[in-house]
Amino acid sequence: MRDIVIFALGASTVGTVFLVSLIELLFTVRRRKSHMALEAKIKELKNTYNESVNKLVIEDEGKLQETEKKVEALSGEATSAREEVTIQYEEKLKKLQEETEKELEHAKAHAKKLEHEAKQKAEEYLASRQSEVEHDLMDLVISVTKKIIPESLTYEVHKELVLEALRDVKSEDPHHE
Amino acid sequence: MTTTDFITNVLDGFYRAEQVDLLHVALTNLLEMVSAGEIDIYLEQHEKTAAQKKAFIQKIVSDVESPELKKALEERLKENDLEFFRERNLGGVLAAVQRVAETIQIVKLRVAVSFKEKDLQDMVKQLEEQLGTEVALELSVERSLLGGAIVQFGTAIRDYSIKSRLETVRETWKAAVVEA
Repeated sequence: MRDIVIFALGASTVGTVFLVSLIELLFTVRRRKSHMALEAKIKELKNTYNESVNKLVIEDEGKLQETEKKVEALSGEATSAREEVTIQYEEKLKKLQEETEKELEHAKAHAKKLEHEAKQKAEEYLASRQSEVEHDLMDLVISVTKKIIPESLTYEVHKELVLEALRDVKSEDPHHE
Repeated sequence: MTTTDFITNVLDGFYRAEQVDLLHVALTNLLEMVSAGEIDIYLEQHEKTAAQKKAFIQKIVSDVESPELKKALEERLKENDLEFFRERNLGGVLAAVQRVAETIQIVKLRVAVSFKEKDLQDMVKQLEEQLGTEVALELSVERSLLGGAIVQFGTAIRDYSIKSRLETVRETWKAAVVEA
């Protein structure tokens, strides 16, 4: 009995393992099929995606090239315009600099002329005032001297001055030896 | 007294032009009278006494315009030398005095102050030494000269006044400083 039980137990265990294995196998097959179907689907989608992407890329590349061409054209125009503007700017700048230098030279010359004229006028005025002062100074000295002399000369000095003058008479008379 | 002494006596102390002018006037008048023989005629009148003759001459002498000539003539009259006053004597003497008087150089002297007579004589002596001739001064006082003198003899004028010197200083100053 025991052997029967052990046999029954063994047979049930083997049957169970077999059943489980069979089920496992079944599931594995199904899983593989599903996996393969999934992979196929994925592959298909991937292809579709790649095609779409490639298409888009090609379209974009065309647009990009076109845009690049436009950009290049615009860039060329911009460069040309820039060069022209630069040339015009430089010309205007140069002209402006020349005009400025010319104006500056003119202003300097004018300023120098004004300075010279002002200096000359100042010198003339100074000379004129100096001349007046010197003239007035001597007039003043003579005037004061004329007032002082009569008061300061004594009778004897007057007499000596006359005698001195008379002593000179001889030397100034060419007919007398 | 010789003619020379008389001339010296008359002209000694002459230093003013006014004296010379008066002498010329006196000599001219007296020479006219002498030349006309007025004195000789009177002196030859025998009825006239010596005193009358002397009084007559005294009258003539007193009318002489020149004090110096008058004084010299009065001295001769004091000596009672009436013969001196005859035309042949006095005429010659007066002519000689006139000739000498004409040689007197008149010097015009303009000064700033009045001088004493003695000092004027000193100035005349100085001028006589310088010019080598008799000199008489025609003096004028101009205060504006301040000092010194302006001397004019003949055609020459010499300005030694202080006023002139100051003007020279002023002109020199102007030329050197103001107008330079």
